[in-house]
Amino acid sequence: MNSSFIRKPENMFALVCLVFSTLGFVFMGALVAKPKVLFGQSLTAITPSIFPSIILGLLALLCLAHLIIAKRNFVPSNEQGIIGIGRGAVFFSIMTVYGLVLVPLGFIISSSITIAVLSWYTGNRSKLQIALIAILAPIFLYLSATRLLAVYLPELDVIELAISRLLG
Amino acid sequence: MFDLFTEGFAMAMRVDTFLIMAVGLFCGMLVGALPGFTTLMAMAILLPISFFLEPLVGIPFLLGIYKGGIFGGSIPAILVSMPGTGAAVATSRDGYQLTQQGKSRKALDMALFSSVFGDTASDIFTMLMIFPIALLVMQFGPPEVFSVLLMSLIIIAATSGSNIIKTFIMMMLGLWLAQIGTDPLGGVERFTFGLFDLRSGIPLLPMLIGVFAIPEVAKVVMENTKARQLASVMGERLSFAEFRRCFKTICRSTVIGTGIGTIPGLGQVVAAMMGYSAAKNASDTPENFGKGEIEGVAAAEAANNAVNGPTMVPLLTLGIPGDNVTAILLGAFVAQGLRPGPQLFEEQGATVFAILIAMVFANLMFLIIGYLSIPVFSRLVTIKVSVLIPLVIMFAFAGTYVFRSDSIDLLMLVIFGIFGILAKSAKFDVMPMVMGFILGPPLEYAFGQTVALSNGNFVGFFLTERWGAMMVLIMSPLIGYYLWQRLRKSTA
Amino acid sequence: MFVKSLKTAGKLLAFTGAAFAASLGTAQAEYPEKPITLVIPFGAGGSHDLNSRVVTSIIPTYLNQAMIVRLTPGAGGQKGSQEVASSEADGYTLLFSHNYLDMLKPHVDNLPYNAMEDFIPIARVNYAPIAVIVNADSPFQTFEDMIKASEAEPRSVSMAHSGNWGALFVPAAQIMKSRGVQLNLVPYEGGGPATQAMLSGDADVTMGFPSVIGPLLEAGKIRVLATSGPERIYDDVPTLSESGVEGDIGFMHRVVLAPAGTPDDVVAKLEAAFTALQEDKTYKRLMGRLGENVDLMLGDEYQALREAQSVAYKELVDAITQ
Repeated sequence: MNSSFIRKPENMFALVCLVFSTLGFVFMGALVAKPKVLFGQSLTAITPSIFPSIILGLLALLCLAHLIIAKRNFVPSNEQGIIGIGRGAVFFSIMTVYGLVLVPLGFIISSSITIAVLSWYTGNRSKLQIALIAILAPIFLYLSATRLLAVYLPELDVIELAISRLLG
Repeated sequence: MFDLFTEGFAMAMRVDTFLIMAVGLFCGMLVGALPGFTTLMAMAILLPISFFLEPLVGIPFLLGIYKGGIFGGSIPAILVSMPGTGAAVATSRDGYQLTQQGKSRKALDMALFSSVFGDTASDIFTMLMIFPIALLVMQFGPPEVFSVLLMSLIIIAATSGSNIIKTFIMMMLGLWLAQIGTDPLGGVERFTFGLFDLRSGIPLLPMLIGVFAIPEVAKVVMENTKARQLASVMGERLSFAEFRRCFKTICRSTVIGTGIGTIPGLGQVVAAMMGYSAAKNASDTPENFGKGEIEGVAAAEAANNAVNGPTMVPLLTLGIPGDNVTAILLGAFVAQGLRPGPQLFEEQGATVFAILIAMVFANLMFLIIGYLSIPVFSRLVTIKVSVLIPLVIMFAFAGTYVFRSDSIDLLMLVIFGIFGILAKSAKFDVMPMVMGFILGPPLEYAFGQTVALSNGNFVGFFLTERWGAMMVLIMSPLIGYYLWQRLRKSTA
Repeated sequence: MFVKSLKTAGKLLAFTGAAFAASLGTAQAEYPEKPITLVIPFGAGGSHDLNSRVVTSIIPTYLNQAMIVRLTPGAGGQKGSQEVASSEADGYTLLFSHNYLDMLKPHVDNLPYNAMEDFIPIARVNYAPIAVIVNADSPFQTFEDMIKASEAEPRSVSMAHSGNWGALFVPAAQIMKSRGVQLNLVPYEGGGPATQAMLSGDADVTMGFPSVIGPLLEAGKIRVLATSGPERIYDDVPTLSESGVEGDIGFMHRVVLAPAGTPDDVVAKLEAAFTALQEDKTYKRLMGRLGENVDLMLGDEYQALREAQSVAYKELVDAITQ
């Protein structure tokens, strides 16, 4: 296979799927545990590896079929890659950090920081506006979620205590 | 029966019933509009409040929350491509495209009208045919669920894209992702690589938000255009001519949704996708679907709301809740001294009819409440990008977290976001993957149940006792092939 | 009519107001000084969810703090349990569990926590006894008929249950063990669908809690073959122990657990609150309306039961699985 064929995103995607589905299919025994046996009858009517075997087998065949057909009809062309990969990388890094600090820093602080950074990054230059949404939005959402909807969001003990006192 | 009906009608005509229903509808809509904060959650939280109200106030209140919540889910699906439930996926497909064309108000209006129509029609049908439906429901079991699920997957694959192999690749990928965790039948670990975090599997919400919403937000960030030209316009309201054009589609979807509602355990996801696929197939311009065809919004919304009527039937006639929503309603009924079951109609017929009639009126009221609220919601798209994006990200993360309080889900959200962008650039449609992911576990479950019920003689069981399911199984590849060929010809 | 609605609105306000006032109550130096989280290791809308909504809506009156429900479903309840096991033992994170998840699961799964060492019971809130039921037109008139049929041809009788090692599965396994018979166990997604399968004839037998099966029984759609517990629930229906199935079987105990190492004064506060709850009229009424009983058992007493359960379940699992 020549490199421009495989560099085309869809073919690369299919190739990756082909490799991992074949690996999964081959090592099925190690990846799927055995069910317990109850009074000589299996605890499950069907073996837990049947469905994964069918799915991964079909996936491998389909990826192979795609690659063969794509190879046959292949016309080299210069396709444009993803635009703005750099900005995308920054954006996803911000989100990853948000995801990592949401629990340790609590919802309000981590959201405030993320909102401020993202708002600035997407072109907001009004400091007042950034400060307003970065502070008010997380507090508003936190209060409505935990007090009105009675669901749980992570928050530092100190802040939760302060909020309880302030409202009380 | 007719005198019970008229008596019920008179009972339902109360000011407080209507007032509290309006409150429920509005609150439900707000909660439903937040992805991750499910309608179910809102109903469970407010259930104790309904205990303190009379039957004809408390139950309509909960019904209002439920109905408002379903429509609420289509708001973020249309405006920011963020479906909070599987049922809203089909709506967001064309709905978000319409928003990008500056027609968000039209899309929301269409979603409102078609869901109210689908719901009302199926409620009335249910009321009139409650006992025949009850008999029909008893005919369906795991074999039927299995065959209909398999047929749905085949139809979704056949009608969703031009390249059938790529569609099937994505569907298989979704089916496989759903297998990570513990298997639905025996609780045996699969593909967990010994990680405890993977034992409970990949949750749906990070996948939904990750592959549908994050790539759209990321696109705006990456292209770095300060203002979206068209997308920030709310556009005009829906015209009567447009509604009339979609009327046939709405009716078709209503029938499909009502039918699927009678099969226990299939629900809104299947209905919405089937309604959408059918509309695409029947259309003269199927190539417009997925590119902002308002008929697509109508088809999906009418179908997923039409499921509601028949799902109430096992609850009312047998006292058996089919899903968590009806389980909560059962709690509310019991708390009010109404014990759903075979004798409910004999003992409390008028009250039950009053509740069903209130349900129909809830729909009509919702038409007004929704119509007045839509301009407020669609104002969301006029917020400037640098404010909207941070807020969307915060809601996405908060919603993902409250879904099951696990920070690992936040990382999954990011990973699915990256996956969504890669799939898009490789021109793979993520929708079949999500459908495979949602429908895979019930498919395997129903298959396992069928094998258990057949006591080892699987084929014989289908042939001798379940010929209806057998027919569906035989027909589905043929239907799939026919639909695929037809679409290929009409789009070629 | 208008006055009536005003009254209901008033009640509503009073109710939410009470919950609110309690949640925001004046700051105190001692426990609890912030809202308590009650983790439910199951999904929304299940019986644990509904029971907890009643508990958490009334208990703030006695704790002077709100109790927030946190649903953490996953891996059959393991996920939520694991989270509470690893959380700080300060009384601000509690688990709402049941006996099968608490004491049986450790014997069938490899858990990331040790149920006996990581948790202490605070209060058993209530319990529900189970009944073996068949369709009214079933050939099985008595429990013995069913046993005979499955003795004659093993696995010919199919029994719908609500998931492996769940509330319907364990009693069935205990029947199979004690009577030496084999039933064909078919899983359903919950007790409701299992009952429906029995009614539609897909399955021959299933089980249900009396609160759920009441209406079906009154309508003559089903027949009860046996019930759990030491005393008969229905006069003409034998108990499981009369039918040769001994032990603490067929009870779903809903229990609030705390991480082990929770300070004694905190435990005492919580126990006092649950004791006061037990006497609360509104609480009793609401639980009654849900069809649940109110039968409190405090930590120490339940701990003894727990230890007995652990031994019994281990014997059961060892005896029937390979």
